[in-house]
Amino acid sequence: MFTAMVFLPLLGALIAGLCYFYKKVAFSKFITCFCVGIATILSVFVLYEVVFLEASQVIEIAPWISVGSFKVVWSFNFDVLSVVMVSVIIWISFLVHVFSIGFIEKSYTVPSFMSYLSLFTFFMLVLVLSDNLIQMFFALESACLVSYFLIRCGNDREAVEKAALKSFLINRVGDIALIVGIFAVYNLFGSFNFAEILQNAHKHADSSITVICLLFLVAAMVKSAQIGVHTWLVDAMEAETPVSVLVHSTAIAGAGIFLVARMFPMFELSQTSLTVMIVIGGATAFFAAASACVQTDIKRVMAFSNISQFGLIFVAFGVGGVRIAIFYFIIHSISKSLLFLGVGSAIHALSNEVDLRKMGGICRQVKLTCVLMWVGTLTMIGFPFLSGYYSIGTVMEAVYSYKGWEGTYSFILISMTVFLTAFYLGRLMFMLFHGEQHGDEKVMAHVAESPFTILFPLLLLAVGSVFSYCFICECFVVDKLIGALFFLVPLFGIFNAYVLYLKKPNIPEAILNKFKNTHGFLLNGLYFDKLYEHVFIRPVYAFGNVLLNKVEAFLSTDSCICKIFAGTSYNIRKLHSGFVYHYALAMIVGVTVFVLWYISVEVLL
Amino acid sequence: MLSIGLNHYLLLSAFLFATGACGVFINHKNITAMLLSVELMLVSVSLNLVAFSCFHNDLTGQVFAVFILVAAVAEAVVGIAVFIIYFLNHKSIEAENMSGLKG
Repeated sequence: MFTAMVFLPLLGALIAGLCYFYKKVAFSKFITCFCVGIATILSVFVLYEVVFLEASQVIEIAPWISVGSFKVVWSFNFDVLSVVMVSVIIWISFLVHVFSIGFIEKSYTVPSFMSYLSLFTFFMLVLVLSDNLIQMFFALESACLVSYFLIRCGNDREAVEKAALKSFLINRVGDIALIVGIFAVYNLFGSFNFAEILQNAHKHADSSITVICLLFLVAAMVKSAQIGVHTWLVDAMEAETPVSVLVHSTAIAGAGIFLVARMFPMFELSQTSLTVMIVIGGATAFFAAASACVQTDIKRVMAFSNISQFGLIFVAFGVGGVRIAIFYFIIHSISKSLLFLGVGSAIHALSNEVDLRKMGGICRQVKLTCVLMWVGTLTMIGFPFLSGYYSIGTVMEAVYSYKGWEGTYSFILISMTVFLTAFYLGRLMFMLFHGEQHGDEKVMAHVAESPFTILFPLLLLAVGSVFSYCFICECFVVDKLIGALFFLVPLFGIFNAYVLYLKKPNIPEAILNKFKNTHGFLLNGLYFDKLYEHVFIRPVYAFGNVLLNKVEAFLSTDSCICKIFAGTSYNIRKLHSGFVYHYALAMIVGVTVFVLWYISVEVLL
Repeated sequence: MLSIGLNHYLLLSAFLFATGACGVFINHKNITAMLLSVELMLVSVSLNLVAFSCFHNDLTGQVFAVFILVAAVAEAVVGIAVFIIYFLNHKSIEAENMSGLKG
């Protein structure tokens, strides 16, 4: 059962891949959903067995590398952390599969798209279930590669290709840190196995542990799009909505979270890495939330919202540990998937319009989507007695009780983030569904509720985002003071959004005109793209131009280098007499010389 | 009475090998004789192997020698076939005329 759960998505992906050649669009949709659906049902049993019956186990699939003492085995490690991650990934993947049936319009790329979705799910499962670093690295790279295909799939606009390439390249930066970290771990511990590494971590010096932790942290930062390397996630929103939901808000970013969670006992030994985590996470959460407030592309709002939430999760890691962070991650995945799929549904209804300024006033036509998205919004901002209330509350409590300047720093930033989250989500909802209609008449005439396959995942996720906290942990108790504070702050945020975007729509423009620089700063994601363009891209282009125009021009003309090559080859050519016995003689002489050399070395040493 | 030991076999083998090598390098005319010389070198190596295998009481060397003989036979067959085809095309198998590889 355990193994079948992992390999079913792969099976579905292979069959759907074959469908591409036989042009069986409907069958490919069916088979991938079927396989992932079965795997989802199995995952419930696996979750029950591992978490509630406490039957953790390691299943070895096959040996992989075995060279002397260097051994790597393909194996699946079913413990609480990995099974919880598996459940999140596989449920959201299943709902995204179902969503794609209705969302992706009939086109020749559907079989390959569905196939990539399933394949991506498979690699994510291998990733979170891996019990050694090498298998994890392999799965991570494969997942990144498939996500590159997914972004590009069915879209050959230039922007999409650039976004796909960008996300691929920026992810490589993190992978270099990760692979250096893996080497460092092997050098220090002589093992890739997580259990062995974490058992022996306390025996080593603080400085070496800190270095390893920082390397892993860089890798996790890139995957989770923390500040400075967040640019790939924003641009990757060019992809189809289902891809954005699965890949960019749950899976790849979740891989970074998982990496930290898995290695967390090691992070705990190094106070420096925890501090770095809190500082970066806090900054990311705040700046991304601020950027989300000014974006006009609805998918970019969601992208910055993701980045902000992942910053929050990093802070949760730093101040509270794995339980709180993973709890937050689960609730966030559910409610963010709900919101994001809702946005997808709205985009679908609006004939692929993504500009927020051209939306508005469609709540009558798409009632169900609107209601479900409000559920998602209220969960995300932590409305009382929905899941988000508990997840944000626990994080806030951990932050509040954290000693030292990091605690104060993150408390201030996260309070503002919670306010901004409520504000930009309220802004998104009001601009999308309420107020006056801004779209052109042609689009508005076609606005209609999405088909059942799109609404079904939304319904399930809405139920999940309201009730999921009941199943996860009853041991989280929210402090009364914090609870009161985080009851008021989001309400204030949403009230602000209501006033600004529904009642007095001219105020935002006035503010915008007054703070043009800040607006541009936030709109362009803190100008990191510009920075990278000037620091990395332009110098590389300039260097390439120098090579092309100066160096190559020098080499390819009648310069000394040409003559040296011509003369040398003319002389070497004479060695080839063409007679077999000359070659044989050269061979024998060579062998003799080597043998003599070998013997002399043996004798002398 | 002189008993025949490992050294004698090794000397014989070295002599045979040297003969074969000289046959290849000094003989510039007859390509068939060169092939025979190569065979001689292979046989000398097999002799080496058998001698060592007796010396160490390990059958592996003898088994290996049999394999080498089989390989040598196969190689001779291929070589002679090549010569025949070459003769059909060039009307001669003089080693000195075979310099198609000249750079």
